Amino acid sequence: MWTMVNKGSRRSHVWIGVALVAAVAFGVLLGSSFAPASEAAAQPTVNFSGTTGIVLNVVDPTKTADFEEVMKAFGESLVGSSDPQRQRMGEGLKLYRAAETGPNNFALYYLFADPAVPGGNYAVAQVLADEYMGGPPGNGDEVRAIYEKYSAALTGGGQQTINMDLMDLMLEF
Amino acid sequence: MQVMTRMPRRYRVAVFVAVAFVGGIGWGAARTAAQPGTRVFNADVGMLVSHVKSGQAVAFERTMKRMGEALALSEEFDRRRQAVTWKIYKATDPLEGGALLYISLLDPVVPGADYWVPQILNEAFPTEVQELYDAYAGAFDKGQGQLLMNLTRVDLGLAVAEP
Repeated sequence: MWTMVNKGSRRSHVWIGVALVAAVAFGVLLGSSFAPASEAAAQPTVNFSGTTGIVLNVVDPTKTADFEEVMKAFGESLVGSSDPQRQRMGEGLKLYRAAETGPNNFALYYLFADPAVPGGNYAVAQVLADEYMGGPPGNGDEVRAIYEKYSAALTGGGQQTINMDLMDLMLEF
Repeated sequence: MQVMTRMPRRYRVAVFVAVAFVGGIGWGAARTAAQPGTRVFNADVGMLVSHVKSGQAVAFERTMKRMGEALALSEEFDRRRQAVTWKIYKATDPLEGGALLYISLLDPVVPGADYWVPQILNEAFPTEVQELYDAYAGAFDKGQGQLLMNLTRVDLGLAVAEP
């Protein structure tokens, strides 16, 4: 009788251990989906699953000129690419700055990809590395310099990617 | 009242006109003050961020479609211009807590135009506006509601070159 109880107790300890490991693994996965700004900026892949993609950028108010410079380089890199998919991505790109500010007076920028190109990678770092100033291997220093501006502009703020679908409201005439 | 009856007829008319005028000013001012929801943008581009309660998507979208019809039916040129540049997007995934996100992008804004949805509905469908308003107002998430943003386009130098 004692042995059976002991076996049952050991089995329950194993199950608790498995549950704890699973919980930690799930927590790590969930936590990584809310990565802070600098990590989000460094992500190699940004895809949109909706017909339209929006990226809300919360930018250091002292670094808005740097951020806009990076966004211009991003847009020009896309439309100047020899890859037709990236050209289409560039054609659908629009950037807006809000008059209203976010927390701590940070500037709010909305980047619209409309329409979002299915399968297109909108990661700024990746596009700049591939396309900026003629592409690799000669653009290393320029890409590093502009990426540092991008990362610094988002430090203390952040990014949020939102997948959207354009609704048909019969407003097109 | 006795004073009024003793007054010549033309003075009485003048007094009535003056009282009506002052009353009209007061009523107009009260009415303007009672309109909580004017949505007028002071930038080239406008954005309305709407947080809608889970389960209220159908009610919200039905009201917005009716609003689209109202703009299309309007005899006012500016109302029809509003319709042409009004795009509404719906987030594919609900927000944390279950609320649904809708973003209206108005690019460009019609200068001076009021984008307050109940007012647009009232102009076109006065007999059903109360029902539509109740559905519209009841759809918003209490915590977040609606946010108005004035936007400026940032030139990315992406203009397509002429062939």
